[in-house]
Order: sequence, then structure tokens, then C-alpha cells
Amino acid sequence: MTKQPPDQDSRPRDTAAAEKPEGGAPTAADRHHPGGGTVPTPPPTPGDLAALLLELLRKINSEVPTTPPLQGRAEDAVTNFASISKDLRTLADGSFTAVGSSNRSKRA
Amino acid sequence: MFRQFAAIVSPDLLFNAHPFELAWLLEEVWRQRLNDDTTLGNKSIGDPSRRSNLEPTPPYTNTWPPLSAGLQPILDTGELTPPFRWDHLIYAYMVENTRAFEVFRRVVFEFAHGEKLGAPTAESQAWLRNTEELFFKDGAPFFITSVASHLRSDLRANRRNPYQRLFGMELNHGGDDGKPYPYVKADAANNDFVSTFEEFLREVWVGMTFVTATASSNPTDPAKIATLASKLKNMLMSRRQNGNLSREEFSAVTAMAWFHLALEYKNNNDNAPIIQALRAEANGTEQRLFKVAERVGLPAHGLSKHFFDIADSISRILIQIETGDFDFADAVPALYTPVPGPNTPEAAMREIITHWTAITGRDVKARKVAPS
Repeated sequence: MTKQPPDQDSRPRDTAAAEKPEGGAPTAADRHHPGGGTVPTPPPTPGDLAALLLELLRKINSEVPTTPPLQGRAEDAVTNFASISKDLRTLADGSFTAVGSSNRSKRA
Repeated sequence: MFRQFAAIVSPDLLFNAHPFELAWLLEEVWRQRLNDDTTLGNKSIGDPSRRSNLEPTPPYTNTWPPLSAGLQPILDTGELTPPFRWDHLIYAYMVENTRAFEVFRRVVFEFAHGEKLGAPTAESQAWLRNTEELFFKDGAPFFITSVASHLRSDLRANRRNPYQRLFGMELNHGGDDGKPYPYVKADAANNDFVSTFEEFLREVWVGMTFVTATASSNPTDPAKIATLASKLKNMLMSRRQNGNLSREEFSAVTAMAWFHLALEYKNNNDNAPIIQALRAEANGTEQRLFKVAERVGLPAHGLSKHFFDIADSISRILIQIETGDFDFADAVPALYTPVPGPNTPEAAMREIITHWTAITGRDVKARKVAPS
């Protein structure tokens, strides 16, 4: 019969390790584990988390989809539209170039 | 047209010019119009690059043109050169829908008949004379802009007819009495223009929404957009065969541009002379119109801002559709792909979609619901 892991309620509560709050810093009992072996990896500090987050954001930003470049006829269409717009340029697109913007202003 | 002139010379020079100068200037613009009649260009008459084969008045001698030195730069070859291009008729339709023409008609009427609005200022006298001479008269004989005759004597009806023929649309207002305005309706009219154009806008909006999509399926259908653009081109160019409606278009867009410029012109806190005479100074083209309208007791359209804002973009896009630029599926990404620069098809389409939705109340951004 396969041994099942103890459920939460039946966990031993008489050791120092068991008293360590989950996710907290390593306790003395961790470092001087009677059984020896490797020292557990310390959980990330807030600084580590921030760096991780920044790295993640950098990665996401580098993967933001960009619009495909226009080529061929589409590129020509953009050029032609600019040409039509230039032909139909109005006062709203750019002010007139005549010397003296307003005769009435000058007289006033 | 006058708004294009104002990009070269001061609007004040235009407002204060002699009406004969202005009439002649328009005549000369027609003479020096974009007219690609080369075999290489292979443009049919009516094409945006070859609108008409009608001649203006005969060329003048060295003692002409009768233009003052201030207006001369308009005809000088420069950045905004001859040959000239003028706006699409849709520009006139959009601006006229603001009711600006009717409002200014009242202004001229009141100043001509009494002093209900006070006496016109000295600066506004020339504007009033020019407006009456150019846009509320039959026009000088032989001039290209003189489209009124015994056969079509009503200037307002003369514009409603081409609107109906090209776009299958009526203006949103009737006469002063609120009744529908009488005009001759043609049998051959593009009654499918609105539904086709809205379908075109809807498909382009799908393209805009998914242009950057990489992780989802992209429902953009360039072939359908190209088909719709081609359909629009064919229906518009069918009404323009052999240069049909070009004179009417030229006449309508110059008239509307005159009133648009008077409302739009704001330079160093200065306003057009007629706006000052009416004490209608305000911030924004539509707000000045509302004030003028209030002065004469004829309300302008509440959505005037949208009509003014859409006018330039829709004019330019329809001209380009008529050239056939978007007849091909590989060209239509230009309509929904953002590219750097101030005047791009994508920016124009975005503006059209926004204002068309506001004007018509039909949301072209909403997906079509297929009946089950």
C-alpha cells in the first residue's frame, strides 16, 4: 500500500522547522539540519521580485506586435494620398505664406 | 478652393478682393487644372486627374490677368502649384449639411434689406459684395462657375441634384419653411452609395482593429475591401463619364469653401470680417457658425463640428478611390495600417469612421449581426 502524505492537520508541530512560517526566511533549524544535505534556496526578496518583474516587462515589450511594413501598391497608395492631400492643402493644414497675416490687424 | 488659396495668401486678401478678380481667379484655376490627357496617362475624362475637357474663357493677353499683386502668388508656380485640384463633391455636401449656406444667405439678406443686424462694418462690405456677386447671382456669362441658367435657375437646387446623383443622398434640411426642398431628381443615381460606403468603412475598421493581431485569427478581408472600393469607384465614375458633373462640382465646392473659410479663419485672435461684423467671435469653426446662426435666427445643424471635421478627409479618400488606387487587395492595407506622417490614408479613414458614426447614428464599428 502506498504511503499517503500526511494531511495538513496531521503535520508534526513539535519541530522548529514546522514552526517556520510558510515562505519566511530560513531559520536556524534549517541551516543546522541534523540530517545534513544542501541548504534550501532562500525565497526571493522583494528586490529580486522587482527585478524579475522588470525583466518580464522588458520581454513583453519586446514582443509587442508591430504593424507590418507597407510594400508595393500599399506603399504607393500612401504616397498618392499624401500627394492628393498636398494638392488640397488648406489653411487648416498650414498657414498662408503671404507677408502680413492680416491687413485689418495692421490697421487696428 | 478658397481654402486652398488661403494656404498661400491671407484670407483677408481674398475677402477684400474685387469680385471680378475672384471670378477670374476661379476661371484661371479651371484653365490650369490638373489635366492629364497624355496617352501614357490613359485617363478617361472625369478621372480625378482629368476632370473635364471644357474650356474656360479664352486666354488673355499680356495686360491680363486682372489680379492684384497680393493674389498673384496663387497662380505662381510654387509649392502649391498649378495644376490645381479641387475637392470632391462630398466636401460640399458635408459643409452644406451644417446649414452654413442658408445661415449666410440670411446674413446677406438682412444686411441687404435693413439694419436688423446693425450696419455692416467697413471691413465686411467687400465680403458681403463678393458673397452676393459670386454665390447668390446667376454668375457672369461664359464663366465656368456660372451653372445657373433659364433651365436651372435655382442655385440651391443645382447642388442638390448632383448630391442625389453621385451619393443618392439628400441634404439634411429643406427650405426655410421646413418643407422638402424642390429640385429635379435624376433616375440615374447612386442609390447604393451609402450602403456600400458603410460596408467599406466597417471592413476597414475590422482591419484597423486586427492590424497588430498576432495571437488571434485575423478577420480582415482585403479582397472584400478592394471589391467595395472598386464598386464605389465604378458607381462614382459612372456619373462622371466624359466629365459629367465636373463644373457643378467645381461650383459647389468653391461656394462651400468660401463660407467654410469665413468661419474657419482665425489668425492671431482675428476673425473674418463678417464674423466681426456680426459679433460672432468664438472658439472653433462650428461655434462661430452657431453664433452667426443665432444672430439671424436660423439654427445651424447641431452636429456641425462632425460635418466640418469629416469634409476634408472624406473628400481626399473618395478622390483616391476614384483613381483606382484601392482596387487591389495588396493596396488596401494602406487604409488600416498606421504609418508615420500627418496625411495618411489610415488617419483619414479613422477620422471618417468616427464622424460618419456620429453624423448618421449608425455605428460602423459594430460587428454585423448575422441572422440565424
